[in-house]
Amino acid sequence: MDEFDSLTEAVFLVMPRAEAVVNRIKRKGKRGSLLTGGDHFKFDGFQQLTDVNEPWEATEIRHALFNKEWSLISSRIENVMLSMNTMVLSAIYDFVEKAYTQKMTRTVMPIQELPTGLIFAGINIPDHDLLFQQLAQILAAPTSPMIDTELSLDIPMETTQKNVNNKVVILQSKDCINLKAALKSMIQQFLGLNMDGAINSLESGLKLQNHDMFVLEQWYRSLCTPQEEKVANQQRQPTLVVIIQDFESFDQDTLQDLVTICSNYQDRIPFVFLMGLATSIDALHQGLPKSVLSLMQTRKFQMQQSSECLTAIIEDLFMHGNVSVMIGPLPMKQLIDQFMHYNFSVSGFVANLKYIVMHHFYANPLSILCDRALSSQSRALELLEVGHYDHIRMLPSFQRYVESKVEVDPQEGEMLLLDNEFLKLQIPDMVRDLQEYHRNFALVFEFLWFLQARFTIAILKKSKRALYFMALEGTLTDSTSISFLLNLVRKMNSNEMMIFIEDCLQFFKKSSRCRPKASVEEGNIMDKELLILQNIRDRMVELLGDISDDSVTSSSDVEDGDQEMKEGDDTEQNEEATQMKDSDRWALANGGTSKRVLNRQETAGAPIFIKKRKLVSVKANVAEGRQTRIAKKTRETVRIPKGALGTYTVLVTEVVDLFERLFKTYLSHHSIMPLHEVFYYSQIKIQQKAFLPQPRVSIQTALGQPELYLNCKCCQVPSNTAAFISPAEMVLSTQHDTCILYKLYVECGRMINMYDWFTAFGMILERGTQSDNQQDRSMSNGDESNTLAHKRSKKRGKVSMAAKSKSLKEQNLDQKEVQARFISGVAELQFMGFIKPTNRKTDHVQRLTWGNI
Amino acid sequence: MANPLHREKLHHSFPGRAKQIDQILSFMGKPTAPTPPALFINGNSSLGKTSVVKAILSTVLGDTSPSHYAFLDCIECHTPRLIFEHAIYQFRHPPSVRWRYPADLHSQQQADQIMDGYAHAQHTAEADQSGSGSSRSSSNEDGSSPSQDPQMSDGSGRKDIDTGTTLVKNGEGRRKRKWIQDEIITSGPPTWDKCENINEFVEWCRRICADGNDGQGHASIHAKGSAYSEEQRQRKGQHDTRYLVLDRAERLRDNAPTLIPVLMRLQELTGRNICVIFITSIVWEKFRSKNGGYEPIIMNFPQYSKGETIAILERDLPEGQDKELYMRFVDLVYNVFQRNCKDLNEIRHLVALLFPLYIKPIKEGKIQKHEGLKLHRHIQAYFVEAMDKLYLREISSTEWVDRTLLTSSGSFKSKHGGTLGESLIARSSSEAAKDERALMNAVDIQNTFDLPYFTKFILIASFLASYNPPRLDLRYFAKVSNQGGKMSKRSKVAAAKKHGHEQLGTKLRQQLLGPKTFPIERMLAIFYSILDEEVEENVNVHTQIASLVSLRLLQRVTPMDKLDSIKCKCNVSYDTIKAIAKSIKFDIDRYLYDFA
Repeated sequence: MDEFDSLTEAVFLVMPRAEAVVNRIKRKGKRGSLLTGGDHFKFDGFQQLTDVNEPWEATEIRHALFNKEWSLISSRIENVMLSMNTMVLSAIYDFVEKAYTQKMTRTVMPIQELPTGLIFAGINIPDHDLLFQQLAQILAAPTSPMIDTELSLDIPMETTQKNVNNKVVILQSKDCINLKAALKSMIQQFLGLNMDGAINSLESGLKLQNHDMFVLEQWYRSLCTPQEEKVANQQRQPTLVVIIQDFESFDQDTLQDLVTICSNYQDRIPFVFLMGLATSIDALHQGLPKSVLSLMQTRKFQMQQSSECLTAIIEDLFMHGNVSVMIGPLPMKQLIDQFMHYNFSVSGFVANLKYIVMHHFYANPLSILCDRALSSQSRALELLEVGHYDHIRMLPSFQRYVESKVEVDPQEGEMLLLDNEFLKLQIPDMVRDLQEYHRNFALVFEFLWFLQARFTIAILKKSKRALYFMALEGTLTDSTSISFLLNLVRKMNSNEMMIFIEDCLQFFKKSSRCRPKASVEEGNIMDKELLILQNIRDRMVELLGDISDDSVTSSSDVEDGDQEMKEGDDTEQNEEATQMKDSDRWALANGGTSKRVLNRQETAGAPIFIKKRKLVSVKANVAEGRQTRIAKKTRETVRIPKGALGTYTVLVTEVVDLFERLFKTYLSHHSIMPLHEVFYYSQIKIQQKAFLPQPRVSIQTALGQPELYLNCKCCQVPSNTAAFISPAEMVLSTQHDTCILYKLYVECGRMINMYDWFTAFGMILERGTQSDNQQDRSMSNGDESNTLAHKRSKKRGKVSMAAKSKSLKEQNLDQKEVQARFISGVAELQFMGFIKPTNRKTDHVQRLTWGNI
Repeated sequence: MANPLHREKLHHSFPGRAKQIDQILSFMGKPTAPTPPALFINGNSSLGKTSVVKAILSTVLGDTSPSHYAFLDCIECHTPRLIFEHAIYQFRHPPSVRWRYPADLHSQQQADQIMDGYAHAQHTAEADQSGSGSSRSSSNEDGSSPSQDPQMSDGSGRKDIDTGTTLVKNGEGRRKRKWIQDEIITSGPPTWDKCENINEFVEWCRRICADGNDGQGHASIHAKGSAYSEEQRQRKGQHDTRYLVLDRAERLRDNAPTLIPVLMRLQELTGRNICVIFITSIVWEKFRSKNGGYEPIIMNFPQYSKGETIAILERDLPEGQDKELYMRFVDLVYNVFQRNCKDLNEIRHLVALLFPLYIKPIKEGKIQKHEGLKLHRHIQAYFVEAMDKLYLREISSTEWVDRTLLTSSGSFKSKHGGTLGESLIARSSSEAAKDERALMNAVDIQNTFDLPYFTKFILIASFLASYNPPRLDLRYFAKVSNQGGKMSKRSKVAAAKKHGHEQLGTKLRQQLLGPKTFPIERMLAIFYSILDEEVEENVNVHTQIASLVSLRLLQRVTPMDKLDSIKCKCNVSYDTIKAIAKSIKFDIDRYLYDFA
């Protein structure tokens, strides 16, 4: 152990020695695995799981699956994040682009202002690193980020063709403690860009200082001149973009001066500033004085709120079931809580997620099955060992599945339990069922969201994330929000109902799940549902067509028959009109839906019918709408053919029933699916330990119960101690000095007398040596009440006790050694923040912590 | 000097500054005349101090001897060394050669330099025949610092060649030209001279003055100094005054306080004709050091009168606009804003932004030009808005232009009573399709920011800790066991009264005194007390405190290297904290002592 005997190093990395690994493999060598010792770290520390006698190959598969899964997840997250901010990023790009070209067209200002973009990027500053790096890349790139997206709205083609020439630097507050450092950082970054033909005055032998703006000016001029010679004159002069990443952390005076200087140079060097603000515009107004503010021409850019990013990520990954590893309700709650409660940090969320995925594949032998592409030919199935099957059979979901099987087909149930080969054949089917469940879930969940968005009523409106979380917990199907929504559907008037059903059809048709072609071979369930819905639609079209014809004749009846009714109608008519308006506006607001509205009007059949009905009589509409309501309220009957009313309500009920059934079946909890444990990660403890660390608790446990950490034999609690004393309260002489001191410390008051502490410490050590000497004696004086007694008595008669103990100690313990150990222990406690020296009483220290967590 | 042409031109371009210009010109006198050692120009911001001095120097010296003055900004030159080196560089290199690159001396550039050489021959020749040079001052008509535009002076240099060749007839001229050509070939591109302390600087000043020329002699001052006869040197303007201008000189007090007395007597120290001009917005008394020193000649730039302001604004008349209408508008703006805003640039800024709005109905044909009252009523609402937002730069000029000029005339018409903001909201909803605009407007409206849930509580706890006296913590935050909850409001009021305070109105209310510092531990105790749910202590709470500090919502009072007993202040206004508390349904008023 000599190699670990160092005065300077505290931590050592001990790599497993090659022989040891080889030995272990030799032991397992029976299985014919051909791995040598050097491969231990090949799998990033993934190890063979011994409880199932896993072959190396299975470990390999788990490792590969993890890598595949994680790269999928991280690339999806990146895409989501990028697409969330595309709009803003391209707006910023545009801003920088036009900062100096558009000047001429604008109103001529008396003072040339410095173009400054204010980027509100959310309060989590560590996340900004990535964001601003992305931004810098985009700005420095020759083309706008909009080109490859459809979002390019009003950027004319010329701007994209023009060779844009932005030079970008990022200033961070840590590099800019004062003006000198800030200028230096800025200039050096610009010069470091290594442009062709540019002159770096710092390197060319001139004795310039590296924070002199002169250097930058010279560099910039040299950058511009050769270009004018070479390239056509249209070439724009490069714009220098300075990104101030964390405005709030900057020294405000430095920033003021920096802005003033750059604004002075603006006639020679075109600067554009981009400032990242984490809070609000107030920070800018607080931080900079009026004279500086008036030098800037600000424009604000709002980045996507990080909570929306989180929702988008969860939606993309889990709601749509795009990945194999799903997150169970508990870890999901923890993930979201940590995000919402503590930091709003997307990168933190991603790190946490990675940990989960890693852990899922690391310790779970069944995770070799966690593959979406699992088929009966998969290698993973062949590698299953007896232990694996046992694990599968121990899964609660599998047990339930078998129980349900037994009722139907006892033979098969038995086979599942006893025949490994049979089980192996069944596994791919189960996995496929689970995938199917995910896909259906995604569609129906989307439909639920669509349904909720349909109604403008604010109560009971839930965020997508909240709804998904309910589904994970299994409370969604019985929740009030669904029944409430269905009630709203019931209350729709016929006109709305038609539109609504049309929209629903469109919705289902649009989704990829319901393509008729796919249905032929796979027997898609969703298509059946679609057919049912279509059927209802057709019948309703027919029925309502009839009614409208009828109501032309009956409308006069309604009019002369019931005056009161007419008034009611009028009001309702208005109501309806406003409702229509609302829905229209809503439709307009969502660009996508507006298209759908248009589609609807163009498609044959129902729309024509709607138009016709509108022409025929609005009154009939109203009466009809009222009809449905009346049917429920049973107020008064209106003179409308009773037969039609009956069929209509039947149809409405059918629709509602269909929806209810859809939600019930497809949004059911994932736990009904067998083998769901393979895909759903549901542990929480290990994640908590890693991402919600509680340092104080760990330190206190370590000091109070060191045996938990050290796992040593010597500190076992003597068997004859009273049961009511918990091990944490015991002071054992075998424990570490600091632990002993800590335990004595816990008993003290606000001020601790060093001498008392020292003598108590000495007593315990002494007792240890005594008991060592007289091991055959009873160890009854080892308990803690005894120590206290000693200590208390000591306080009364210090001198006599000290003399006595001294004589005792001389026999066994060296007084100096005790003192040295005492001092080192106290120093450690002080270092950990338990005590601090005080001036109030000279030989005392102050206690700083209270309460035991 | 007081060349009448110069004078007239300057007077013309700076209305209301004739007296100051005359004063400065008379201080300068002839090129060789002795000047006061230091001139101290003070006055409020945007009274034309800098531009007047710049214009005078460039008009008077720009053509003849552009390297006889150095113009430094003390914000940029934030260390003495930077001041010295920039000054020397400007003294030694006339603007036209300042941007030669030392690395690549292509033939073309060399040729350019020779051209410059001609130009300089020209300049010096003109200096000799003082007076004739004034005719060329028209090439720099606008007086905008030629020192910053090498291309321009390059151009003028080339232009001069013709006349230069005519001058070559003069034997003296020929000799000089020859000398300069030699000089260029031997000396090469401009150099940067290192100068670290005031002694070196004084030495440099002596040399530069002795050098006597526009800095074409670089590498070997001594060699050159001895190479030419006394007579030549004199002719080259050895006794011409050099001007060192220090703009925003108030910065010197922080950056280089010891430098001020030295600069005051730079003339005495160097024994050369150097005049230091300080330009600052604060009074001389604030510059005086305890040890005493030379008193400079103090010149004050007074506020512009109304007539002068309007005369200046008149010069901003946009092209192609009716002058009478514009002047009426300027008059109006001046009358409206002059009470709040003395800053000329600010008024110019407002005029530039508001004038297009003023004439908009005329362009649209709604209001006739002569209907002054109608126009006035029309612009009134914008004035209110501008006073509110634009003046405080809550809206920047571009945003303002975007917002106002794009406002559809329909919503604009309906808005006579209401403010601009309302109409904008109406507009934004109507034009939701234009997402980019909508995006911008959303930013305008959204002036708050979101915080994580517990962070909000931490911030509230800090606010409470900052504004509540610690002695009342027990009453506010201790959980009373028999009631099972916190104290009722009444008993809290009673508790407050017991301590001899009125509920409100004491002069030493913390609300009026501002936030007090508090130890982090106290804040954490309050935090755990106001939280309804049990939260285990973990690292995140502490990282959130740190991130609040970096967001400047909390202000750390103890230095960063002190790790225990950290103290902070809450740096958040009552309104903000109220909004935050409302967002998490926390009734903060219940817990605040002596607050309104």
